[in-house]
Amino acid sequence: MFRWSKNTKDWAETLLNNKKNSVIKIDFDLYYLFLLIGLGLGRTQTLDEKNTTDIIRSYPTKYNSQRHKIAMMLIYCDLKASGFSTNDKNIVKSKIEEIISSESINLISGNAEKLLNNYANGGYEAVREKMIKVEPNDALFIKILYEEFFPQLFQ
Amino acid sequence: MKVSILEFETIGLRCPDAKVSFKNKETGSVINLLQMPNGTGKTTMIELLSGTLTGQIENWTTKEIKEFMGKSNDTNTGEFRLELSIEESNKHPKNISFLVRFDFEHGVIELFTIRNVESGLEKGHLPPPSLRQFISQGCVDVFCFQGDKINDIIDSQKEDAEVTINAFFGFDDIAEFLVDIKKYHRATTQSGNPTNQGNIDSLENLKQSWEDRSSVLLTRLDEVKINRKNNNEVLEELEKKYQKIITASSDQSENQVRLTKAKEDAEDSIRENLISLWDELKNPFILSDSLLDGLHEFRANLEAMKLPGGSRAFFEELIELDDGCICGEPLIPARVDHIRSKIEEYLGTDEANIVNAIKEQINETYKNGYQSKHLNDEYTKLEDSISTQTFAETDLTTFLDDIKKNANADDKEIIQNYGTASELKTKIDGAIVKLEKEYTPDKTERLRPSECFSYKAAENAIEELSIELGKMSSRRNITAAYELIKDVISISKENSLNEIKSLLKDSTNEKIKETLPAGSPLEVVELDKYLKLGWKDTVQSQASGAQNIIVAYSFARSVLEEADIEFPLIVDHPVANVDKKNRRTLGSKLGLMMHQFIGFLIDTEREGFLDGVQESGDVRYISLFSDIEGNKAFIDEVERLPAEEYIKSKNGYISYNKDFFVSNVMGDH
Repeated sequence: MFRWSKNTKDWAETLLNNKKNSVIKIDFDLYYLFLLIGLGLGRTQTLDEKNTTDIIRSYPTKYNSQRHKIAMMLIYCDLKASGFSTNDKNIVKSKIEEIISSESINLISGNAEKLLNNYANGGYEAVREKMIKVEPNDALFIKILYEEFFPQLFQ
Repeated sequence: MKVSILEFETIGLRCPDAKVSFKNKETGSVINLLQMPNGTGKTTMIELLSGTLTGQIENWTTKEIKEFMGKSNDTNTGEFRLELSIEESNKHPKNISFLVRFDFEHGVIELFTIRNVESGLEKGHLPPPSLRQFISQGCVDVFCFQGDKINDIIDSQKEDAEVTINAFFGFDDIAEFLVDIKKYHRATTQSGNPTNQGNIDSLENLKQSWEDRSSVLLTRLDEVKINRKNNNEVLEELEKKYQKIITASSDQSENQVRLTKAKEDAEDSIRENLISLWDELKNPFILSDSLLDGLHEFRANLEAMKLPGGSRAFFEELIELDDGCICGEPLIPARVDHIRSKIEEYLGTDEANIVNAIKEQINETYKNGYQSKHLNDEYTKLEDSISTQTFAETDLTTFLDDIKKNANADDKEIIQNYGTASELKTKIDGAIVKLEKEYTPDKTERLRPSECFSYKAAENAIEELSIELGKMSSRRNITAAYELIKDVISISKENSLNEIKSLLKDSTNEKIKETLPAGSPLEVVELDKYLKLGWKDTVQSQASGAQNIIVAYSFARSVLEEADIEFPLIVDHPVANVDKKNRRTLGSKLGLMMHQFIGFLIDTEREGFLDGVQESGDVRYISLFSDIEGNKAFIDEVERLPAEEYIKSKNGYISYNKDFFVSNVMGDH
């Protein structure tokens, strides 16, 4: 289950209300951007369960082909963010087992989904620090994200 | 089934008394062009045609009805009669008439149908059953529309293409049916006996709160929609006046066109570049070179660590079979123990498959030579187009500010009011988006109906609560059946809608190809809520005026064809936004497009278009005007014609003379 905080949803309201003529057509589109930033900065922020709201149970159709990539990004980035070596077989195997789940349609375990949500929440917090009020125009919103964050992601 | 309009007649209404006959042929096509001076009642006639065909005229309000009274009407009554020809396959055409009687004193109308001579006047809207499904408002809007509404089917802000499909192919009926079974379910479960009184009372109360909230929000939505309609009318009027202020100087008019086009081009460019960048962003591996390098190295590490290597299941099976090792040696207990001690180093089969698929994707991305430079290039294009748009917007704003500065007091007021109405439009549109926002309140939100501002969300909350309550009552079998039938119908509807969209897309493209000059790079790339135009999978935000019309007509024809019905196409100012050369081309193609075309023409459309339609085939030229001082020139001219070439009514003239039509220009734009 992909979730985000109610504060995120409220903050993004004017951007999400412009969905019709926007590239950000569904809530998950915005979640995905936050996730990239959270993973890229190695920043997580634990979601307060009482203050969260569901986005979608499984990947929207247009993101289905990214399921494997996102799972790998989570394994790789979380190993890096935790300071673990990516050469240690036991650590890597244990991380893969922690993250990957063939029983889930999202290919990741329930705990990994929570971890992913925390990274997306970290991404949101980083964005909100730079953008107190959301930019409602999708082109300008993405331009700001690109300028402020993209050069430093995954460095 | 082929439906044609034979004639309509107006008496005592907000247009001259006249019987307007349209040409129709058993085979082949015919074009009817109708010209009228401004203020003669063109809009009135189109509204009467549409309202009578659909039967919606019976729902007009007292105020609306009274607005249709003619100025010189001294009887307080009026009539509108519409005669159609309906030809069903292998049958002789039948005529059917609808007669609307207006009582302006009381603001009421009576609608009658004359199915044949024997049946005489029958009260009510009684079209043949086979026609009934095609003359709902949604369907009539497809073949009876204003020329400037053409863009609505390709406007991403509107959903007119899907609305049309829903109306023509019965999806509206399915939606209504779903609402009916929802109501039935709610009513039935409400009357059931609770099997567990526990939470039922509080859920019932909560559901009631949501029903109250939904009702408040729906009322608010209706009010806002009325405000939108009123404001749009004001805005439309103000826009015309505003344009007149600008066009008062020809230089300024050209400047405005140039600056507006520059701004629109820049906006299109932003959209194109944004879509390209967004597509690139969908591959997270290419966000940064160091990420891709890191992942590639990680992949190599996995290989070196033999992860996943083989799967745990393989070794488990090997021990289970007890048929020796794969090297041919027997599996002695020491070896089995060794394998068991190592088995934990391997992943399960399913996990191993996933990791292998991931490794493959890393390899593929790496091998394809993706680099973040590519993403940066896309971003730079977007950045450039945003700068261009900012400059273009500033130029246009400065230009419009100058016009306002130099305008006289009256014009300043018009410009001011236009700005205010435009701002109000933005606010109203925003309010409607909020009221129609589609989502289902989550568990916490569900406890706070008063904080919900979307009636759709309120309805979804009621739906969920009804299902929960149903499951807690003795009627839970009905709830289970309801959920099943709802899912089956919704899924089937979705699948059918997608199939029809795909068929219509192909059929529309075939017609576009037939009509546009050979090799024209334009097609419907996607048919969703609206028609996305482009070429070879690349979307373009807009086409030329002529192309838009061809797309709209092709789409309308495809819908009618697929529904196996032919209607006349009735269009108000059909080629207003088309340049002269294309007007001629379009005129010459009209005959290919439909069996009967009725166009209400304005002066600026004549050049080129009249030459074109003559090439198209059979044309009827109709001039209609009121008997008023302002039309003296037309009256003098028409009365010079032989008596059989025109008909004078109590307050107007109608002529079918081609030369009169061509030499007398009516309907200033």
